[in-house]
Amino acid sequence: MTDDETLIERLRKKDETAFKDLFELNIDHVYSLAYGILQNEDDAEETAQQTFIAAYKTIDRFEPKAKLSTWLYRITYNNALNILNKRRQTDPLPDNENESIMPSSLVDWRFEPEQMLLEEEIHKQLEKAISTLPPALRAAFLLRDVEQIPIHECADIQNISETLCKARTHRARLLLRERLSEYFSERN
Amino acid sequence: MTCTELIEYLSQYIDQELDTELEKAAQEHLASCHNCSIALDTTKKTITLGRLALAKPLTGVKREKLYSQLQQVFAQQTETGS
Ligand SMILES: [Zn+2]
Repeated sequence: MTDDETLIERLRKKDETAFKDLFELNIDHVYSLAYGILQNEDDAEETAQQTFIAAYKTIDRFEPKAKLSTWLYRITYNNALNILNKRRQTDPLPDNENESIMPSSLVDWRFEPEQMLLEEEIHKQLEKAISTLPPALRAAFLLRDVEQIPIHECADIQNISETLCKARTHRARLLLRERLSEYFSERN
Repeated sequence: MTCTELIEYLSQYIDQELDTELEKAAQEHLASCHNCSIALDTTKKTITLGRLALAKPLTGVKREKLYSQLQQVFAQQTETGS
């Protein structure tokens, strides 16, 4: 049996330590994705809570074709989108889906990422840059490049085609690059 | 290959998903185009920055609080048998 299969069996028996294991193995990823999409700590905690409750309630219906982690990511993604949709009525997010992705700011960043991250300001700029992307692009970048999930699983989690998933990741990368580059060119 | 095409293929180039012919054309373009080389380098750095700095684990008191809230919910579920 795989680790997933063993854990699923224990979860179905409502073994309390199994839920502790499920929580410890996945909470950081669940919370991280929720926060990334929602950009708000309280909403991310609520999403994480809803996700584990849903997992607890529906584990009997889980089909072990997918990985347990993929299944949790998908529940998280859907819960986060629901919260986002509710919030949109009062706080519409800017729609910049038509923004050109052709790079315009082309300065050399000179430093390697590891060095760059020693500066607190770079963390802030990165957070700021990702918060300006449309949620769909944020989600694609977070799943593919931050969580480093294979493309077919990313597509599965977002319930979109692999082609669309790749296109969103591509746009997200280029837009983020542009935002950061604007910061570096001002600084130089 | 033009700059526009190179940018269009940039993610596939980084993810090593281009077929041999396109990959070769991209390499040739990059060898002679300063701007696209910078676009490639800074996009790769963007991805690395994201990977290293955008994950947000739930730590400390908040993590413990969330788990104890979940335990309460699960305990109620078991009691009511639903
Ligand atoms: Zn070029």
